[in-house]
Amino acid sequence: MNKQSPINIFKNNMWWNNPVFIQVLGICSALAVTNSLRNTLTMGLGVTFVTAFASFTISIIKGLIPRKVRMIVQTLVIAFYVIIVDIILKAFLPEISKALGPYVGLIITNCIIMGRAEAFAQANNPFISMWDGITSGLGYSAVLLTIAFIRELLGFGTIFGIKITPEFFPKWTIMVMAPSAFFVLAVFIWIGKTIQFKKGEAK
Amino acid sequence: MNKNGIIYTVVFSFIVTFLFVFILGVSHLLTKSKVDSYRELSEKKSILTAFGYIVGDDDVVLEYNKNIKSFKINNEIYLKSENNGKTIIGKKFTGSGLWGNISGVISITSDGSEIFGFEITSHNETPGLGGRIEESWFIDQFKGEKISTGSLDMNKDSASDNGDSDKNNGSFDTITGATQTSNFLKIILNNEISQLKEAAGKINE
Repeated sequence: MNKQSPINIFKNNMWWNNPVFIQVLGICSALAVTNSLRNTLTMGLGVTFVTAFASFTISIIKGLIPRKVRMIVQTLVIAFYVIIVDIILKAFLPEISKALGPYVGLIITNCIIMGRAEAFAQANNPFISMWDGITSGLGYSAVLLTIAFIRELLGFGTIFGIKITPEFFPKWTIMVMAPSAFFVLAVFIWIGKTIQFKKGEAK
Repeated sequence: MNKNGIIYTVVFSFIVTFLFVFILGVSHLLTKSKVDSYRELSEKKSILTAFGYIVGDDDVVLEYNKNIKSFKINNEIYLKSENNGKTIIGKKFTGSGLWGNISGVISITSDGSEIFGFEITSHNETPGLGGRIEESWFIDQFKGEKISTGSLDMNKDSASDNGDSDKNNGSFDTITGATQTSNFLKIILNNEISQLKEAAGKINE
């Protein structure tokens, strides 16, 4: 178990080992919500919250969990926090809850959360695990917000619902549909890895 | 006790599951009344809007009880309201969309000549595509649309983002890339409109 510093964890989860464009995790939600910046922001906050608290909780009880039920217990903890998020949204932000619809429940299936639980929380103390969860969520959110910025601007002509493009600019309807998410994400991976490769060569 | 033995595993799993589910149950109960009252408020507000009343959130229940009356025909609940001397009748509807149910409220003038109001309250259609049925440009196409000559049609070749502004042609523009959702909605609406016309006939007798 190598004790990583908080700064290194931040750099890794935001860039060098980003969960979305390097580890290629959490792709389903990356494709589903990114045609709207508002939905993406809410999803990003939800995933960050769940990853942080799930990692924190799992790290606390990791010594008690029997080997045979390790993944089941982790899934239980993750599902618990996702349902808490769902309850909070339905009670206090019902408009956003309606807009996100089934996507909130789908956070449970986001591989990033289980990934961090297995790879980090199982072997580190609670507070650094929570930090790892927070930074993983932020890395995920940053990539998704970039994709959503492109998709919403070109597909609807708006940013967070505010009209930006001039009237004569035609809307790229494909940007609103799933295939465009694949294209934009693929380009992101391409550019991101190229920059990392060049930086690696320069070292 | 052996952490990996079967007794510990069973007991641990039971306790952990019970604890987390208990907390969820309590959270759900604590927020239930808030969630339910929001749902009721949201539904009543949609009904009021479909009958032409624009009200603030604080006045919804009062205005609803004042203006909307309900009556039953053949075990279906219909709603009625007098607005500026006109009698409007309408009903809540739930029908099959592409991915799930589409629910809303639709109202017509009691002489059966045109649609008065239309609101979508819930659906599971694809966000950004079929989900656009809740956008105002789409919904506004139906308000005031003539229905006396027959059922609603879709203008399949003029899918747009502006909507069909001709109120006399009995048809509406579909959503670009969402022909199926538009078609499902057309079927739902025509069904509801024919029921409403029948009900209108009955109360005018």
